Amino acid sequence: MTPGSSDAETVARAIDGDDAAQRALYEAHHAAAFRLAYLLLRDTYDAEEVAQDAFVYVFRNLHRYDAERGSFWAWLRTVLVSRCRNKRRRRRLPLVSLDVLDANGRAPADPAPTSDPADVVELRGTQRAVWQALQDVSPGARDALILRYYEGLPYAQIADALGCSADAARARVAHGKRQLRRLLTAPEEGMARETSAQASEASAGS
Amino acid sequence: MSELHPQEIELAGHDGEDAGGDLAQHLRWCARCRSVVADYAWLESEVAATLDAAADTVPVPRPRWHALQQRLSAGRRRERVGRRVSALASVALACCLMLSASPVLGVGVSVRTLPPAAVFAPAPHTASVTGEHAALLATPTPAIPSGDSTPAATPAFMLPPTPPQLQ
Repeated sequence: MTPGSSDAETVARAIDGDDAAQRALYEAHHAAAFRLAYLLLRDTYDAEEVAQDAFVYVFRNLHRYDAERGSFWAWLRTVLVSRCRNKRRRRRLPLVSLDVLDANGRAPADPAPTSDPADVVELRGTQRAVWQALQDVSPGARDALILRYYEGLPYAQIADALGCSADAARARVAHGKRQLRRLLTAPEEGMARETSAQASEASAGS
Repeated sequence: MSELHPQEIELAGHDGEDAGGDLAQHLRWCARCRSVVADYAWLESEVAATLDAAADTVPVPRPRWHALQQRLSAGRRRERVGRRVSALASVALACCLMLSASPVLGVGVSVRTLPPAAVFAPAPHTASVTGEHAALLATPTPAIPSGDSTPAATPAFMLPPTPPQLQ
């Protein structure tokens, strides 16, 4: 559910400095930006902050917008995804409670958000299970899944948003689906398998 | 590929859009792999429905346009100050570069110097000279002419004679 792209005239007026046009753009895309940020960050406060940051960046750089390269929403979405990933990286900085460390004394790779997403959204049955399983998928794969199945983007646009190649975007989606299937098939086993797979990927990458 | 089952990651990547020739052929006769692909198709639809439901039910905060405007205004003020500072810094840097590069470029730089302190010639040394050296070393003094109406030119080192007082 994404906003339409019929705001070329509004964008043109906003570039000329029309405050009313800028406000119209902001109010037209605010909800969509917040929702996408929430799906990526799983925290309402972070999502609101990041969405606001993305709008600040976009309005400060309106002169760089090129309508021929894509819609205003497509540009805003790219900025938003980048900000969300930066936000998530900053979450991983140390200051981890001793209670959170695992048996090996290591901090979790993807720390839990400050608010429990299951408490915020109202999901039942299979959707709740899928939502819980999505929280355990690796961040890169989860981002790709959200862009593919929520935004409905082709792999080329997912690649633009994530800063990777189209093949890498396709691979991330495939890995995300495989992780989800394992988690949903046998939750305990799938969880242990995915945790060890992510740890081995992280150690191989470092 | 037709004799061996593809890896699960390959089946997971099968979106149904562009299945490679080998994979499509394998799926035609392999029920097991078709079942896996069907699982993934179901998973895709569930993921899409779940994400839609989560996005629809999360409470969206009200737009904070005025807070956004304040941040944009503050940013414009910072940019103006930054431009002024960088302009001043550029001018200062250019002046420093000109002054430091002037000897290399041969550009004349006039520097006002103070006039040298006045140097006075030492007073002529006067010593008592006696004997036959007196004529050689003494400062020559022209003789005063007797009866010659033409007054002698006053030498540079002697004051002209004082004219006599008429009674």
